Amino acid sequence: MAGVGLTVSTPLQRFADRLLEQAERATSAGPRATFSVAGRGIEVRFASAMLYDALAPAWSALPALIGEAAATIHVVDRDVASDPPAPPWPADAYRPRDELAGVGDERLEVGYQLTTATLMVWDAATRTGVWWTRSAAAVPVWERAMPLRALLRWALRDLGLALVHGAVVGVGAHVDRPAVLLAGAGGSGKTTLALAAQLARWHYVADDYCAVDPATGLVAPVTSFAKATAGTLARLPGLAGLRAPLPPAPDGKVVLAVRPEAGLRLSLLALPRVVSVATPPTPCGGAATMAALAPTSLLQLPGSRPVDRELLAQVVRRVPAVTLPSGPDLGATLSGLRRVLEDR
Amino acid sequence: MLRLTPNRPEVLDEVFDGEAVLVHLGTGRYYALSPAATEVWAALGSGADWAELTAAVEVAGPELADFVHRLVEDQLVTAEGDLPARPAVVAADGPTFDVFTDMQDLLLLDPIHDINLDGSGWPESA
Repeated sequence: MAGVGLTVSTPLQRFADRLLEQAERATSAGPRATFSVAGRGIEVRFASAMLYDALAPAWSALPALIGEAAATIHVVDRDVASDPPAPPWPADAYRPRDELAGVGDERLEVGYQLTTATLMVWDAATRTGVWWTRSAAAVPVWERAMPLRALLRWALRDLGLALVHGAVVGVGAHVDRPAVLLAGAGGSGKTTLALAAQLARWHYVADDYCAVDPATGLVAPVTSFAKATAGTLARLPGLAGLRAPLPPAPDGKVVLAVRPEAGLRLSLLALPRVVSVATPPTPCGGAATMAALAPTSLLQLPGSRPVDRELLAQVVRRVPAVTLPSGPDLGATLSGLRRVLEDR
Repeated sequence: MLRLTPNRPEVLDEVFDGEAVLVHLGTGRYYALSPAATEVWAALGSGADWAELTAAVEVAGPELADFVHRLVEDQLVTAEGDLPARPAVVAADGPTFDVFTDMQDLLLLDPIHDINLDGSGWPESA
């Protein structure tokens, strides 16, 4: 005999249901952006043209959506919609890294960015997200360069993809183009190397975050923009022509409009570090690679879970890694890297 | 009786070729464990008491006691019961870890001060 199921929803789930309902109403007549990441379709529905203009350009050069979207994100601002429902968590729940202490469950991820007054909710059951900010006019340039980072991470996770902190470039002319993911903390030289590779006509995928499918090794971009410091711009003057029509970020970084490529096969992880004299790449063990890849991927984003660690570990186990001492001559470093990649 | 339990899911851990990497989501610190430390970490499993732990690893008592103190201090493990006395001197080849604080430094740059809520229950602009 079948049992009688009784579902008791929590205050958080009731809040999320109301939020989603309000967000769907707010975006029902607004513009939409669609794109795909490693074959997974994403649809972003906006409450206003102003929000669309602020965020959608970041996905303009990504592969088009084919078929149905696998995840939907509603983007709302309080200029055109009401406030979201009152939160069911206390005022002392707010934490660094946009986290909310003790808020979330198996179905729901929740974050709140205090600096921009932005609520982020992801519902894994319906694969629907809500990004509800105070004002479209106040969306910061770093958000415009890499929009909805936390929500995309939650969405991609549920679609079997890892959002990895790292730069990606590749070589080769055939369809199975090998790519390298440059991983490491800020200042390790990964962005400069990736942008130097872009200028040297390598295939360019990402300078900061990328999506990796651990099952297939496919690596894909999540934004059409890159960011470069003044030092990188001075070192690579050819980048000046790529400047996007956006103001510099508060940290002085300039946004660049690059045209990322999709469909590359991740065949090497490289851990660059800036040295005075470059030496050839040398093999690197799994633990050292994980120690370079995981902290920045897991600690810079809210709502990291064991599944995120598992996805990263799958990538590390699948792909060989090298250390990459990178000297002042970026061309020499890229030549060494190309040799390793072409052997893959 | 002392019982030791890895502080999951606050701590994310993965072992590669006999070396564990730990990431503490709360403190922002991450760790690379030596092979001997990885042996201890693996023996802890989802929780172990002191007798089970000492029986499962080849690490000598004083070095094991010192390492367990370090795990507890860094909130990698929670302890129920009294920890063994910490030895004044331990062998240099005992279990150990390298701790990295560069990401913790980033978290400390992002402190949360008092939150004032507006009339709708949401934080006022930071």
